[in-house]
Amino acid sequence: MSDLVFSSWGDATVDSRKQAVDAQAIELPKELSNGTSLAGIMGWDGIAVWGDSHPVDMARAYARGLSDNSCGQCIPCRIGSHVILEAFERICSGAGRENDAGEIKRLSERLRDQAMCDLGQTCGKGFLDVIENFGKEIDGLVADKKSVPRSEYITATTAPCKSACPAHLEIPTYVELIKKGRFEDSLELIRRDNCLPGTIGRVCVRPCEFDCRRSNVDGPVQIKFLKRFVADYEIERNRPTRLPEKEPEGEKIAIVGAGPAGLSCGYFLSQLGYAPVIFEALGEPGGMAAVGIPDYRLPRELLRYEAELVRKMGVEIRYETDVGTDVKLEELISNDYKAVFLGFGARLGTSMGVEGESDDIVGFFKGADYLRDVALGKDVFTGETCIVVGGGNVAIDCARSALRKGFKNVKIVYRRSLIEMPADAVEVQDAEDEKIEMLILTNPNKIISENGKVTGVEVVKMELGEPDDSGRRRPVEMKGSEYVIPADACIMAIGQAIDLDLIEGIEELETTRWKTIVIQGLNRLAMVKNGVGVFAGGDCETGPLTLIGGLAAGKEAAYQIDRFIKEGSSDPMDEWVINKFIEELKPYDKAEDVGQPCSTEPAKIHHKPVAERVTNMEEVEVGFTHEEAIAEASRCLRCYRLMVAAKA
Amino acid sequence: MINLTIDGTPVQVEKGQTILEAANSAGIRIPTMCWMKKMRPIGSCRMCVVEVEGLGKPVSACDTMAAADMKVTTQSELLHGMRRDALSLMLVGHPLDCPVCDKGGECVLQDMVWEFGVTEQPTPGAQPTRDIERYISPMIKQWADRCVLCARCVTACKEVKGIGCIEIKGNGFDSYIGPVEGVDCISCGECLSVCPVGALTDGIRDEKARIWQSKRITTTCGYCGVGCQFDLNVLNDKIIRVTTTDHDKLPNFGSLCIKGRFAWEFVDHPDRLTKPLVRRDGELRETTWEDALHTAAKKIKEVRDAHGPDSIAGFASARCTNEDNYVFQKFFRAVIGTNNVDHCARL
Ligand SMILES: Cc1cc2nc3c(=O)[nH]c(=O)nc-3n(C[C@H](O)[C@H](O)[C@H](O)COP(=O)(O)OP(=O)(O)OC[C@H]3O[C@@H](n4cnc5c(N)ncnc54)[C@H](O)[C@@H]3O)c2cc1C
Ligand code: SF4
Ligand code: SF4
Ligand code: SF4
Repeated sequence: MSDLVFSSWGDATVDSRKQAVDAQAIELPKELSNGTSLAGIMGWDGIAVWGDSHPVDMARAYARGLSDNSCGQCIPCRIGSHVILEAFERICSGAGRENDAGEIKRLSERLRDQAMCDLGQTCGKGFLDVIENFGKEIDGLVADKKSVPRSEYITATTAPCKSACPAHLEIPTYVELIKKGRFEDSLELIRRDNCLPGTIGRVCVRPCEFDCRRSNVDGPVQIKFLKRFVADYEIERNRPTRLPEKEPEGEKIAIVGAGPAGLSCGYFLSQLGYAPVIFEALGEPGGMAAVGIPDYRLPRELLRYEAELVRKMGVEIRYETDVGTDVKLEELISNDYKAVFLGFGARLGTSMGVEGESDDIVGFFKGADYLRDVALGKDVFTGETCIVVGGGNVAIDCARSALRKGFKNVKIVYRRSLIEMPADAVEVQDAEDEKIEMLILTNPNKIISENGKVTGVEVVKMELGEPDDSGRRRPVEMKGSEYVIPADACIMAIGQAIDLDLIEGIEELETTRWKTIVIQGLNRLAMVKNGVGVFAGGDCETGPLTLIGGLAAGKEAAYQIDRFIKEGSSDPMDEWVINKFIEELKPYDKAEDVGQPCSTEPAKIHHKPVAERVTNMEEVEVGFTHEEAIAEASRCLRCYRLMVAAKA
Repeated sequence: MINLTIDGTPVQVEKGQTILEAANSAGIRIPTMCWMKKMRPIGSCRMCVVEVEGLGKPVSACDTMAAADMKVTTQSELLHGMRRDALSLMLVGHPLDCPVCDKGGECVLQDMVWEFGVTEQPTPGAQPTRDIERYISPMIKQWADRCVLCARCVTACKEVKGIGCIEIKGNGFDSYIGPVEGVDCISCGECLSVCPVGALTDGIRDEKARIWQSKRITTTCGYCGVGCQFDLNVLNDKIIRVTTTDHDKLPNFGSLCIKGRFAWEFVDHPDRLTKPLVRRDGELRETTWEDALHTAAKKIKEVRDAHGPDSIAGFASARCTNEDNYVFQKFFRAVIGTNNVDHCARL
């Protein structure tokens, strides 16, 4: 059937037996990013064939995949998958029985309707697609006792949440372990992919939850908080820490920056048998998680505890060693290090450049600098009223920190409306609860100061005009609406910039106009010099982004470094290539009718009362109780899905 | 409170109750195999599927919460077919050795297969390749091929006993119940007591009896003061096993510890003392109760008169009744005149 073009993927049906079409009609990626070309795929949304692969053989491979990945917990899948596989095996080898197709159909219906989780359910749907569209072919094969050629397949499982997570944590399984009360096993599993579970469990921007299938029913599973729960459990119960196995230390690898990206890279390198050495400018680990994210969201002891575990894995951290000043990057590249990982983040505060700005006037701060000073315990200026400019999470962090540091009135000035605010809605709510005023559709014009002290900010009102490149409506100034807000401090929380001083003189390192380091792609390689591979990831490569992004990049780089050293290859790991391919297939469908009744709301996150929390930097959110955690984990639908892709 | 209807019957339940609990409260039976009231829903057997109006496909009643205005159907041709197929799949690879299985006559699988009229074993001869490891306790025999992987045992071990020393291992058809590395079994037999089939059997005695051949005498465990209820299985006036089948009964809901479930062989042990002994001329000799009590009373009196009442201490047993223990301490305090009295359960 080499000229067949068929797809039941998604809503569209393409069938060359009915209408002349070519492979172009199927809007699916037809090759992997490493150049491997494909002949067809079968997965949660149907089956598609466009090259030299037989749909019935693909269904056989799919049944094999299901039977290998079935967790064994429910009857229709554990045993049904086996019976279905046997039938497909028979059909494909020319020994099919007359009732095989009927048996496959009946058991697939059971799988679809009766299996406990989405792995069985979606596979059932896939087999039914094959029976429906290729029933005649199967009958022919059985009647003629004809076998079909076997293709080679790539088999992978995913889940909407797992695919959305940059580090691809094994969410459905670790949530299920929580449901079963196996909290320590859950944490152990999380630690396989992530070295800062308690940290991420508090402050992750949780892309997984935005792609959680339970959202289609009654709200996402509180994945982030569940992770926090198991991380806290270990500490509160004083349970032994179960860290991954590490190999005996081998070659040295240099890492710049002990932020999430650098720590993660070291953590995985030590598991792979290297001796990573991190050079860190500050006196403590965590990068922006330590000196950006305020303690009331992420207690420093916890971050230090988790970083200490990374050190225990065999990662050396040299604090107060600025690369560029105390040691030259070139030295690291040419010395006894086999590879270098750049994870130096985006440490500079930025400002808008409005009239009157100056670092020399008392009461004027750049957001990142203000938060760093607070985090490092410096004596920060405090007064009556503080204006924070910006609409992102950093602005909210600055405002809430300023309140805790003694300002009586804190106002956030943001040029668009609340809907456009990029800050997390949960944090905006927390800030509002703390009586932080939101002056939306307002933009600063001028910082007013007297005798070297801020006395106010002149602002202008804005209105929303036509949408801009980002799709958000562009704010335009309302002429004549200027007014002055009296204030004794102004914090510009509009972003961070990358400090590239350390790479000065290394021409081979390419950077963009946003000063990010350019890498080749999934292999994270930035350059090779004197045979030493220099890899990069985290904020210094993406621009200010997320913790989990940094953790994922560090892990990826570690494996690439290992491959580079052992195989001399800079090909990206197959796993990342497949993950990327799966992302393109979009495992989450916002419009899907999941077929569950809306009967359990997401667990509520408890907060310390406002009066108790605004006077100090202590943690605001309170973790789940055991019962809450188990009930919340029980909401998970275990949306594993299988994909097989035929190699062309 | 939530109002819903199940098979046309209006039912009212608290928020947070499952469809199955709602049905149970209204006396409507939904067939189940893995579900047990004393544990959280497992959801493995898929027998409890029900239809809910407005939903595209059936849902499992055991772990789906009831919602306001739900209209639930528990019996239909579709559901019957699904349940029947689930049962027939359970028979794939199942040995059908019912005549020699300990559980014959009280096996949930047997009962259900009978109820749903499954008369054939699909794909006879199919056998999972289970990489069986020895079951963790010598008290319990594991017959892995009879296992339907309902996971009751796994759940009970973790949830009821807080141990978690067994889990589902392997994948797909070859999955099996095996020990968790690094977690020690306490041989309590909780798994054994919840297994719906004959996959876990009592390894203490070789004597066996069908349920209708032996007598089951409900009694209270004598080992400690909790008062656990269990059934002595008696054949020809001899105990052959201890079982717990009523998992709703106070105070232990069918759970026992290793002593209650397995440590009863002393009852007819040849070394068991059945007559009092008194040491005479350095040797223990059988005697009458009268002589034994008389001797003891005489000695106690002698010691008290020579050394005072505080030279004597009394140590009672948790295996005596409350009344016996009361009288015992009274005797020490009032008759002998000492407060030196204690009890092994205080340890
Ligand atoms: C205020 C604030 C709040 C945030 N909130 C969240 C949040 O809630 N959730 C979330 O996911 N993300 C959040 N982020 C973003 C997140 O913190 C970053 O994306 C993440 O820390 C990036 O990790 P990284 O390792 O790439 O860089 P960084 O965390 O910036 O770490 C880089 C490290 O390198 C060190 N370094 C830099 N230059 C040198 C040098 N020349 N020599 C030696 N060491 C050097 C730095 O001192 C730092 O320790 C927030 C960021 C800020 C600023
Ligand atoms: S993977 Fe899902 S459908 Fe398959 S046995 Fe496990 S719970 Fe059932
Ligand atoms: S319901 Fe569970 S498995 Fe499904 S997307 Fe949400 S967290 Fe992931
Ligand atoms: S041993 Fe018994 S209780 Fe355990 S999974 Fe098997 S059938 Fe169920």
